[in-house]
Amino acid sequence: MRKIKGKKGFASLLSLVILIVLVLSGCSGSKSGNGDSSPQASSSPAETASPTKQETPSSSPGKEVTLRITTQVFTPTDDKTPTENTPVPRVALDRIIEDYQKENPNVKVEIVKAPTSSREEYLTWMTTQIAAGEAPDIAWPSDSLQGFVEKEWLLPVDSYLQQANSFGDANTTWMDSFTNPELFKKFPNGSYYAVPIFQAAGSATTFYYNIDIFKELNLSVPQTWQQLLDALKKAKEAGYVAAIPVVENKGPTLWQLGGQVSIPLTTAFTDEFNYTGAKSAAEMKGDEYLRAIKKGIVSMERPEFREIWRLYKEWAQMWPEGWATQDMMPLWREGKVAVREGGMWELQQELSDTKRNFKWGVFPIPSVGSDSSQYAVDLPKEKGFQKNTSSAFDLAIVKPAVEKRGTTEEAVRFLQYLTTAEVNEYMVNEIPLGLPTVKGAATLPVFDAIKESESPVIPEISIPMNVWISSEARDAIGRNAAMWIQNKLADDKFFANVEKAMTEGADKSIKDQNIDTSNW
Amino acid sequence: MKKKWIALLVIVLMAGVMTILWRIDDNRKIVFDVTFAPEQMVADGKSSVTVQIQVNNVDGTPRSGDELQIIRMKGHGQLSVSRVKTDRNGQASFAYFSYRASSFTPVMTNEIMLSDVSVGKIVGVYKRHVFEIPVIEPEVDDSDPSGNDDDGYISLGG
Repeated sequence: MRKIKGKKGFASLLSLVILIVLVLSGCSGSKSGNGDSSPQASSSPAETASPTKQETPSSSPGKEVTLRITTQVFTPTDDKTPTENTPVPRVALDRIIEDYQKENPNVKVEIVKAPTSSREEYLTWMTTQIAAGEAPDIAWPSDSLQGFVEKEWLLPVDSYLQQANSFGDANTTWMDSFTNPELFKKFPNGSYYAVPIFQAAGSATTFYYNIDIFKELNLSVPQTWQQLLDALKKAKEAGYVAAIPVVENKGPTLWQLGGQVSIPLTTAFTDEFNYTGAKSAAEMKGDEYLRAIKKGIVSMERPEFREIWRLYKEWAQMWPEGWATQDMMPLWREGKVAVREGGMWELQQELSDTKRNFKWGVFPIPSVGSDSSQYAVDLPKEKGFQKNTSSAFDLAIVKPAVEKRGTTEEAVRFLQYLTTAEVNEYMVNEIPLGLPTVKGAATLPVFDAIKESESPVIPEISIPMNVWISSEARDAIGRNAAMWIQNKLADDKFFANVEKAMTEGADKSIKDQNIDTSNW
Repeated sequence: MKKKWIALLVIVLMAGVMTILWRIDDNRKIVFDVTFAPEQMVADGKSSVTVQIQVNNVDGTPRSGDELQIIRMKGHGQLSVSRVKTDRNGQASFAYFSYRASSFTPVMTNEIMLSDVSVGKIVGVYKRHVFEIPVIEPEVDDSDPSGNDDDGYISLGG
């Protein structure tokens, strides 16, 4: 009891102090806020002519529909006005919804706030919402789209993608209105379940580098994987930390295996892999990778796949001791690191780091070429944003929700509205995260420096080292890779474990998605 | 009774100290001088404006090492950075990128606020300066800005 009284006493004391300070100082936020340097001319902004807004066809009048959507990173902030605490409030989706509702008065769109702190928390929330019959109609399928599909949470959108966007060009299919079809993930059952909203500028993952170190050591921006390794060796010999990786669950990210360090080594298997003879990514059946694992086309027994891992390990040898357990970012900020692995999503944060005193930049992950391996081909290069083979953020229609509420058509229409060029541009460009996914939507000039670099042209049909085939496979391979690159696991044992994880991942997908393998 | 008087005295003393700190901090004057080129920005989604900032004390001496938070208060342009630090001459600069005019992002005067977060730390009220960047309709779509420097390095910061 005394303790509670004591706490109350302290609180009262504190409140009294604050009150007296406020009275004595005669403060007012606005007075102090303006400081002594008044605005030059703070008249209200003058809006001038604006382009004609795209006409939105109204849906069938009558039936009142409420759509519920959860949009993770695009969720509007509570603060709508910029302040020091919320310097860049998110308001775009509010405006977009307001606009949509004006044109479609029978539709009400509600934003459902979901946990954003971790994937696990979000998945738990979604599971609960679905079980309770309260899931949103449109949702971010997280970065485990596969898991959402396996749980039958998502509605296939194939038939809609083959028709025109209700708000777009009537002569173009919805799918063709996007920058490239590879942004859509095709599942082994041949269906599409998610619609891409934004994509990476260049590549989602990249290398940040210390230009001062590169200039001092007379190093050029690496154009091939071998040139990267050579540059890092020189930096290491000069006493710098050659490279620091991003660490996931105390293991490596394995990001480079997804393309640059795998595809140039597997081009010889393309015909064997593309068993239906598809001419483009969109024509592919979707089950090619599962078949390739089961048929031994993707196999750790093959020297090409072992070579991929060897080249990855060479990069890992450039990391400092303790990479898996220690925070290496202070070394980067102090200018002691030549190259750091990172993502384009960190760009704004890097640009705003005032603690750093060296000149820095980014370069795309260079591809393996013939200077690295006898198995590799030299991919052609071109200037401009690299064509993405996946999106960075999708939205999908939640099957149990729309089926229960009868909102399928309205959910599709709203998703189509979000992927018109003008709306997609406004929504994605509000905060620099990446590029819009729809043709005709402008990219932000902040990414122009990346557009100026050359990137390898990845063939539309290609075979990466897909360690992300299932979350279980990724975890198992990640654990084994962490030990192997630290020389705590023998080569043969490592390759056997990777093979086992990939095969089990494929078997699980075939079973869970009831894949017909009779034509394999 | 005596304890109550002591408690009240302590409260008044604490309040007095905090008030003095507040006054000292609030009365520290700094002078912002902002220039930018070009003097207006084209809403073409490609061009940019380079903003130069000079931060001085009232006696004219430059304030080096001040951290400035940059906030777009109105408009739709993009800041290249959200924070900059003044150099030994009290200077800092940043780029403000254009946007493409649309019904969601109309042509309008953009308003930027600089907040010197190195001043006012004690009371949490920073020195601020607001300026406007006029924005005009685009004429011809022909610019192609490059981020490469002379040595072929893709430079973004530092």
